[in-house]
Amino acid sequence: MANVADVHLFAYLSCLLFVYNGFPAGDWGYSFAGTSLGAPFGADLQDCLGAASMADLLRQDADRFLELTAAGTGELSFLQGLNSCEERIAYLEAAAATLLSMPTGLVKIAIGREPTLRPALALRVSRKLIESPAVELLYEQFRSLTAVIGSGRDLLIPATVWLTYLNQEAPTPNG
Amino acid sequence: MVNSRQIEAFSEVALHLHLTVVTDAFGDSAIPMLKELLTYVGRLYHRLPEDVYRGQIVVVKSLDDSPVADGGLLYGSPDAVALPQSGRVMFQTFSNGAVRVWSSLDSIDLSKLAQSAIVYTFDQGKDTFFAGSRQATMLKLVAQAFSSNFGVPRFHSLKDALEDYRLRTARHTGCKILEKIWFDSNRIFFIPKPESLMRDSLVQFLNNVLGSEAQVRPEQNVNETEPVDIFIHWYMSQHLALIEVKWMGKSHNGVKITTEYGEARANHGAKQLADYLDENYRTAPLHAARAYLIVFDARRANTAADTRTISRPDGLKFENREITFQPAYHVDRLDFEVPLRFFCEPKCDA
Repeated sequence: MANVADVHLFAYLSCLLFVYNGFPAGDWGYSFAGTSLGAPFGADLQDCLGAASMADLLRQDADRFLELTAAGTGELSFLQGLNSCEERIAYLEAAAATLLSMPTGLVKIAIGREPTLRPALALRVSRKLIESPAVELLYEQFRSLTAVIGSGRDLLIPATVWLTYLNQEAPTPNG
Repeated sequence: MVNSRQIEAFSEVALHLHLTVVTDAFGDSAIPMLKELLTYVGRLYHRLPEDVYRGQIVVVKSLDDSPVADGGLLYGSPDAVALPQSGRVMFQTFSNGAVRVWSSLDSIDLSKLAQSAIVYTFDQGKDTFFAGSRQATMLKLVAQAFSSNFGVPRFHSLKDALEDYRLRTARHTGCKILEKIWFDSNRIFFIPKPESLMRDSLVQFLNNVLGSEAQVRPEQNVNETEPVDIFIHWYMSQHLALIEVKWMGKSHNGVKITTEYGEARANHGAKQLADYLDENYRTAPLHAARAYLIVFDARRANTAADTRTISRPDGLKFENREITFQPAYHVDRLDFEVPLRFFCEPKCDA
C-alpha cells in the first residue's frame, strides 16, 4: 500500500541506487526536486500519476492509498516489457524491498538526510536533487559504501546499509 | 577518495545487519530466501503482537526448502496458523506458502539448524539472525524498546500513538534517545534543558508509526517568536497537529539543581499552544489544526542536590497527581486535546 508521497520517495531511492551503480542521474529518465518539507518530488512522475488516474489505470482508496485497476495492471505488464523501462525495474525492486527491513517512516527519515536533499529541509527551500554542490558528498558516501560491502553486490545490501547509516546520523536542526 | 569515518560507520552497520550475516554465510544467492523469511515475519507480526509476546519467537527458512526438524504441525497457509500467546515457538516458512509450527523446541538446536537455513529469533526486544557460523543481533531502528524492527506500526490516530508512547516508552525510558535525558542512573533528575531530546525521541517514534501517512517535523515556526516543538501534516489533506513538549521536575548539572518546574510550566505550555493555534488560523485559515500538549513529569518528593537514591513513596509521590490547568483550553476549545502527562518512573530503592 502506497500513497502519492511514497511513490515519489521510492522512485527517488531507486534513482539514487542507479547513481550508486555508477550511472549519471540524467540517464534515469526523469529528475527530482527536494521540497521544503524535505521530501523528494518528481514533476514528470506526478504528471504521469495524474494521467494514469485520468485514464482509470490508477485510483485512490478512501485512505488515499493508490491501487492499480485491472486496466492498470495490464498497462504495467506492457510497460515492463519495454526496453526503455526494463533497466529501471531492478532498482525499483531493490528500493521497494528495503521495506522488508524497515517501515516507510524510517526510509523517509533516511532519505531526508541524503546529502543533496538535506539542505532543502535545513534551508526550507525547494531545490533540484543530485545536482547541487552537495552531490560530491553523496558520491563520497557511495564510495565508502562500496569500499565496505564490495562492488557488484545485490542492490538490496547497499540500499539497506546506507538507509540504516542515514537513520543513525544526527538530525538537522529541522529534522 | 573515501572517508575513513564513514567506512567505520558503514562497517558497524553491516556487522549487525541481517543481509550481511546471511550473505557472508551463504552468498548473495540466499537473498531471495531471506526476503521470503522477512515477508513471513512481517505477515506474522500483523497477527502476533511481538512487543507483548512472552517468550521466544523463531522463524526459519531452509535453503533447500526441506523441513528442518521432525514433528510440528503443517498449515497450508500462513493465515491458518493457530498462534500461541506465550512460550518458545518456531515457524518454518516454505516457498509454496505453507508453514510448519513447533511449540516445543527443547530438542532443537538453532545453531545446528543455521548450517543449512536462515534462522531468525525475536526475544526480549532483540532481533537476531543466525546463518552458517555467523550470528548478529540487529541494531535497534525503532523507538519502542520491546518492538521488533520488523514489527507493524499499529496506530492510525495520533492520540493512540501518544498513549502508547506514554505507557511503553516514556514511563520506563524505553528508548535510546530518552536514556540521555537523565542526569543520574536512578532517574531522579533530568539533565539541564532536556526538551530537545524528549522532542527528538517523540519525533522518531511518530515518524515510525505515522510515517506512511504524515510528515512529522520538529521545530516548525508558526509565529515570529518561538517554533512549535513538533508539527504534523497529513498527506493530501488540510489536517495539522501542533505538539508542544514541556517537562516538570528538577534538572541537575552535576554541581547543583539548575531548574525546577511545576504545574506553572505546564500551564505556560498550554497558553503557548493556544496562541500557536490562533496564529495558525490567521496564517493558514483553511488548515484544520489540533493542539497536543505533552508534559514529561519527573516530579519527586524530598530531593536535594546530593540526592542519588530515592524511596518508593518519594519517587512515586506524583505518579497520579494530575495537573490543574487554568484556563482549561482543552475544555473551552474544540481544537485542543486533553493534555497528556507522561510520568517518568524513577528506579526506587528496593
